[in-house]
Amino acid sequence: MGEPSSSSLSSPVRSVPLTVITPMPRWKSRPGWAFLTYMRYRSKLHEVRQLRFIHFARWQRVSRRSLTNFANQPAEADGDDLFVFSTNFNGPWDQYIDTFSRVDNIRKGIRWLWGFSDKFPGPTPIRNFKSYIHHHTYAEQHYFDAYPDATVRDIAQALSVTEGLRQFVATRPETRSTDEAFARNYVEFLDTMADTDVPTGTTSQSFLTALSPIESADSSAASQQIRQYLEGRSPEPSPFADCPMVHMARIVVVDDLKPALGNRNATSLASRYLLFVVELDGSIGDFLDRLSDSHPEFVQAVWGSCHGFPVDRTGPVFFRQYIESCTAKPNLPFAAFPGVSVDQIRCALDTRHRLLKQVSQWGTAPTRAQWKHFAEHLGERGHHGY
Amino acid sequence: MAGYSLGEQNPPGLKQDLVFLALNTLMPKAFRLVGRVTPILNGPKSFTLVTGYDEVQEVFSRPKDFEVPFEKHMEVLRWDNFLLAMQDTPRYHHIHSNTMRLWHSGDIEWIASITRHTVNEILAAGTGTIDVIQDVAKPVLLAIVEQYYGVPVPKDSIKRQSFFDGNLAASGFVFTGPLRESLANDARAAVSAVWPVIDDAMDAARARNADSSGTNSGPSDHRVSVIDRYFQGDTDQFTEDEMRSSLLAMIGGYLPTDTNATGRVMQVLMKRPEAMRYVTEAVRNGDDDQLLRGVLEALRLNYIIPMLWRRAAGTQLVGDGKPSDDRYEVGGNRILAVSLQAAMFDRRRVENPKAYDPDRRTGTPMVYGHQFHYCVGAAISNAILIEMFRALVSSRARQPADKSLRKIRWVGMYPWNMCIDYDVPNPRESY
Ligand code: HEM
Repeated sequence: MGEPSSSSLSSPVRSVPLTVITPMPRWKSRPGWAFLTYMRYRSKLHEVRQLRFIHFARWQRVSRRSLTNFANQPAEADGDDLFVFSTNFNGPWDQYIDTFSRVDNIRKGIRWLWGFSDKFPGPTPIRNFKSYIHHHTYAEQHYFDAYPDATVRDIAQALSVTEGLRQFVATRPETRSTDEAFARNYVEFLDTMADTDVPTGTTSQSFLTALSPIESADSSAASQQIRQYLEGRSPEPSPFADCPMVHMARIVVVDDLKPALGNRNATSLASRYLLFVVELDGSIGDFLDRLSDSHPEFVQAVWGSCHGFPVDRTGPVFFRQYIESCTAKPNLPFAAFPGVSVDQIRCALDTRHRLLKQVSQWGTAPTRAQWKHFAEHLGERGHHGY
Repeated sequence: MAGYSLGEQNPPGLKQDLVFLALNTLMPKAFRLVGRVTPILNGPKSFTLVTGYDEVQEVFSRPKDFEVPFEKHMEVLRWDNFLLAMQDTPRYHHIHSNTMRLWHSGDIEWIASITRHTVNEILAAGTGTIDVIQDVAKPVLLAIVEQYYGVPVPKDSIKRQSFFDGNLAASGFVFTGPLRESLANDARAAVSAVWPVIDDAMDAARARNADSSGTNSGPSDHRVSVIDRYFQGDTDQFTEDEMRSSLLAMIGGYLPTDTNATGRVMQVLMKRPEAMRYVTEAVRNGDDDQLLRGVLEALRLNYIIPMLWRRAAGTQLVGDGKPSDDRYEVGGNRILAVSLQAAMFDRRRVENPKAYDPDRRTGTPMVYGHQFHYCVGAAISNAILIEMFRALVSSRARQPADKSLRKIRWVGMYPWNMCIDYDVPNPRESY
């Protein structure tokens, strides 16, 4: 087995968010919702998972009528509903969108998924598809990824390698009678380690989508203020880094629902909205508590000028109640590694990194003593499964 | 003079059994049931029951809107400036910050060492069967009052018991909610066994520190007790009256709760093998955090008190952050019975609440209250519970072999006599 290339030790391409909100005409909205629900419970998006290029994604219909109506907030008039798609990718945007329309099964899925959106041109010709997505893309004012340098493939490989390593370590290969016998086992392990199935996790995961209406007295000033605050503060460290349960989080100021090109009769949203999308382990309530306990100033600066936000209150319960009131139930969430926690992913990436580094340092096989030392060290650092 | 005795006020019998059944068993069950239907229930006679996790947290987080209703109780007890009876005012914060300054977190190791020393001595001197409440918790807690607080408790056994019982009765009086005249006389009698002890301690400490001899009460001589520290000027414009009041708060907030908690935690450990296994493993691992999690989870399951009290200052809406339709109105002056116990079982927030799961990830633990009026003694209490349960668990505390000793005697809502068998430790090993 050859030395791993340096590129397999780290992936320099940082993850990039993509948030697309398309208008869904009212008459297509219910069938659209029914389709998403069907997909969630029946298809489970196996094909997407097999492709290993989407980590988290969310397709969600938000009906205007279901948007929370706080006191003094202008009521939403009838108009197109919102179809929210959020995901993230590593690498160039073009390449990512190309994959969508080039892979057969995905292309079919896309035709259906966006088929309920206004004036959707279909996944081909690709130029039209790209300009549709581009037109309806919203800029994120804040984005956090718990492991920004890892692609889905990196993670899949890291989880396989870690599981393979766990199984190998469990056989206590260093107790073999000779160094040669150990070396044979070791080489076999290297050959097969990346083929181990990615283990399914047991952590429950939650998907938060919340749309909070921004104060309307002068909502453009308020939304501008939120933008400036978020864009003006250094993105790192992100407050979400102090919430160990968060995989990914983004905040997007939605000034209006952009009508499809060519639609001149679209009804604007009555308020601007703050879209908050988070993928996390465990319960949404616990995450919100954690965020408001650890970064009350961030919470105040971002949501403080939204309708209905509790004024001058101390305690996590208020933010929790507020965001939960603004929450839309997830329709079709997707996770490439269901049940695998942030902590497990980070540990797996670290284990893989250290293993590959060791393997390249050892050259051929390590001695049994070297291996024993390495395996013990893995255990000490609290790596999962050891 | 015969002293005040809580046991004599609540003799065993049908009345005690019925009170206990109602308050300890039926009421918590009923509250949880109500909580599943509605988190807030505006009941008859201006009573509102709050059982939801979010709603309990909200009420405790809005001290100006939901006041504490204990003014009359304090008159009966002749007690000004008791933190838990004070509203959110500058005076409250003045008392709070001085109290925290005197009973500060740097003392935790001292408190732990008093507990360790006392409990190990008691267990080593015992016969292998012991009453956890009267013969372990009570002497440990009084040792801390004497050595760390610097308040000598009378040696005479009747007066000593009166002091202990007086504190429990005064606390019980406050926690039974809106004032009932029938209980006031009893409360007056109870507290009259407590104030003189505190006043004598203040007089002695004042004199001692005026001579600047400043004797130390802790086991190691360089430690200065809380009361001596006060007279040495270690506070910020804290008057003697305020100090006197804080002493009672820190004794009266402590003896009843820790006694109660010790008995209730032990009851869970005896009843639930998984709980005993968990804490035993923690002790074996030398992991105090794990031990504390195990103990506090047992306390969540068998909480000390069914409800706490607040009063709505004007009409209030509960559910701040929610749209108007989802809020609950509570009329002005209504008395709120706020059930932490039910909140800690609220399935909307606490997963599988009946399970003993100290490592549970959902929900904030609330055994010490929440936000404003959060227990000032939480760290002290944690240190005591860790040391006491470490000693008891490592001596293999278990149900008494003699079945006639297994029944717990309750006085009101307090576990009063609770026997266990244990392995008498070798004194040289246990210190
Ligand atoms: C396991 C033992 C204990 C439990 C379960 C407990 C529980 C509580 C709870 C629930 C409250 C809030 C009451 C409310 O909001 O109405 C509270 C407050 C308080 N506790 Fe504790 N407590 C314990 C031990 C202690 C100890 C050891 C001390 C003193 C050394 C203490 C002193 C106080 C005081 C003074 C307050 C009032 C604080 C304020 O109003 O700001 N408690 N306790």
